[in-house]
Amino acid sequence: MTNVALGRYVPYNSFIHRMDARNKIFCLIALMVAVFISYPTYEITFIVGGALAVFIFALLLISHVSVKDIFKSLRVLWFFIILLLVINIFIPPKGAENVAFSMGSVNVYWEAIFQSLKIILRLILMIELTMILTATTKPLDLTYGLEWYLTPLKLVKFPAHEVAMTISIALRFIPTLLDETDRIMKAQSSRGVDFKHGKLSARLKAIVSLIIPLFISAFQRSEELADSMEARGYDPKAKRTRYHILRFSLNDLFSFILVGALMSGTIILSHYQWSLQTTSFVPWYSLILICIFIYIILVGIIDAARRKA
Amino acid sequence: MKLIEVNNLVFSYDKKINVVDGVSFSVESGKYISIIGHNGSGKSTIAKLLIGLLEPSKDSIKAFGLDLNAKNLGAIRSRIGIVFQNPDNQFVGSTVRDDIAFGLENRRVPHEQMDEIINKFAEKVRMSEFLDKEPENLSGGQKQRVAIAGILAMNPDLIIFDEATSMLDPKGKREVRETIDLMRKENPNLSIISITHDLEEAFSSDEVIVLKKGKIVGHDKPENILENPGIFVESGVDLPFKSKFVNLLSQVGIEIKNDESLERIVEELCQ
Repeated sequence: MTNVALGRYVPYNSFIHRMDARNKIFCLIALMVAVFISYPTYEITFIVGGALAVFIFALLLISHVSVKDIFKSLRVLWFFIILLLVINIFIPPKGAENVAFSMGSVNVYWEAIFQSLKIILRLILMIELTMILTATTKPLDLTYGLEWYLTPLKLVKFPAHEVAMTISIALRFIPTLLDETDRIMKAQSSRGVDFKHGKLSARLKAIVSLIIPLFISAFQRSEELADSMEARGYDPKAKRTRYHILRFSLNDLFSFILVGALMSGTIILSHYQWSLQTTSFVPWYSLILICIFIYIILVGIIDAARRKA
Repeated sequence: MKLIEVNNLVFSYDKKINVVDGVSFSVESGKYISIIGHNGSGKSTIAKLLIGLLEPSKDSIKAFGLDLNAKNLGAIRSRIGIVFQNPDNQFVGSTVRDDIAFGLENRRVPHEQMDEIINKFAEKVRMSEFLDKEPENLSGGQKQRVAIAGILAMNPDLIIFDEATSMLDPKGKREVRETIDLMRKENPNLSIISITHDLEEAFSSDEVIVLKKGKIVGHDKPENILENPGIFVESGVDLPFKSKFVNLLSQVGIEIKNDESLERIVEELCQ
C-alpha cells in the first residue's frame, strides 16, 4: 500500500523543491489555465499543447520524479482514454465533416480523433502538474500554503487555521492508519476472514470486519490526540507563533513572472482573432484571473505588513 | 514546597460509581511519586484530573497555590506536562522537529528562538540525529522520548507519566527510564508523577501510592510498602519478581534482604 505513486513527496533539493509553497500553488493554477484554455484551431491546440508537454516534462525531470512513477501515475488514465475514444467516435463533435475512415456503417471523423486527443493531452498534463506539486512540496508546507490563501476568509469567520491544522494532522496519521489497517487485516485473516477470494458479497462482508475496528481505533486515537494537544496548551482560538515560515525568494519571483507570462501568452493566443481583427471580448475567466492576481497581491501586502508589526 | 495538593478528590463519569473516591496526597518539589494499581483503579483518571482534562470537584486540587478551575487552567497547564501511554497518539507534528515545535508554538515562543530550543532538548533525550524523521520511521521508545523532549522544552515543574512505558518493548522501556533518570539528575527540582503497572519502575521512586477502586490503600516509601505484601494482594497488583522470590525464600527459612540486587541474591544462594 506504500507504493502509491500519485501524490507522494520525493525528497530532493531541486530548484522546484526550494520554491515557496504558495508560489507553487499559484504556478499550478496558472499552468492548469494554460493547459485547459481552448484555442481557435486544432493546429494551435496541438502546437501549444506539445510545447507545454515538453515544458512540464522538463519540470518533472528537474523535480526528480522517476520515470517509473510517471508511468504509474498515467496507468489510471487508460480507462478514460478508451472511454473518450469510444464516446467521441460514436457521438462525433458538432461540425464534424472530415471522414478519416469508415468502420462498417460508422464514420470516424478527424474531428472526433482530434477532440479525444485534445482531452487526453489535457488530462495527462493535469495529472503530471499535480504530481510535480505533490512530489516537490512537503504536505505540511502545502497545508501552510493553502492556509495562507485562506487567511483573508477569516474575516467572514472561515476557520482557516483549524482547517489547515486538521489537514496536517490527517496527513500525519495516514501512515499510522495504513499500518493499523494492515495489522487488523492480519488479525482478521488469522481468524479466518478471507479478504482476497470469494464472491463480491463475501468480500464486502470481510471488509466490514476491517472497517469497524479501524473506525473504533481511529476514534480512540483522535480522542487521545485531542487530550494530548490540549495538555500541551493548544487552543485554536489563541494566537500562536509559527515554527515554519514560508519565504518568497528571488527564485520564486523569477518563476512567478515566468509562469504568469506563460499563462498570459496562452490567453492572448486563445483569443487572438486570426483575421487580424482586434479581440472582440474579454472572456469571463480572464476576469477571474485578474481577481486572483489582485487577491494574491493584497494578501501578500497584508501578510508582509503583519509580519513587520 | 508543595506543588500539588489533592484534597479529598472525588470523581465519577456516570454519577453512579466513583472512579476516584476521596483521594488525598501532595506532591513536593523534586519528588518522584509512583501511582500503582490494578486496571480500573482510577490511576489514569487522576492524571487527567491533575492536568484539567477532566473537571475536578471544587477546591479538591490545588496546583502551584492556585485552585484548579477553568480560569486558572492555562496557568497551571503551562507548568505541568503529561506523557501518555500510546506513543503514536501524542505525536502531533509530521517530524520530530515539528512535534517539539508544536508545544513551543502554543506557548508563543518567538520563531527565532525555536531552533535553538528544539536542538537543545532533542540533544537531551538523545534524538538529535532523528530530528527530520517522520513518526512512522521511529520506534515506540524513540517516540516517547520525543514526547518527553516536547514537554521538557516547555520547561514544566511537574511531569506526569501516564503508563508511558507500558506499550514499549524492553529496550524502549529502558531508554525512557534512562531519560527520566537523566532529566531528574539535571533538574533536581523537577517533580514526577509516574502512573505505572511496572513495579520495578515504581520502586525506584521516592513514594508509592497504591490505589484500589479509586481509594488509596497504601502510601509510603517503596521499602516500607514492600514489607507489607498484603497491600499488593488486596489491590490486585502483582509483586515484582524479586520480592516474590525473596518472600518465598523466607518462607523456607532463608532470609535475604529485599534491597539486594538479583545477582547478589543468586550469589548468596550459591554459597
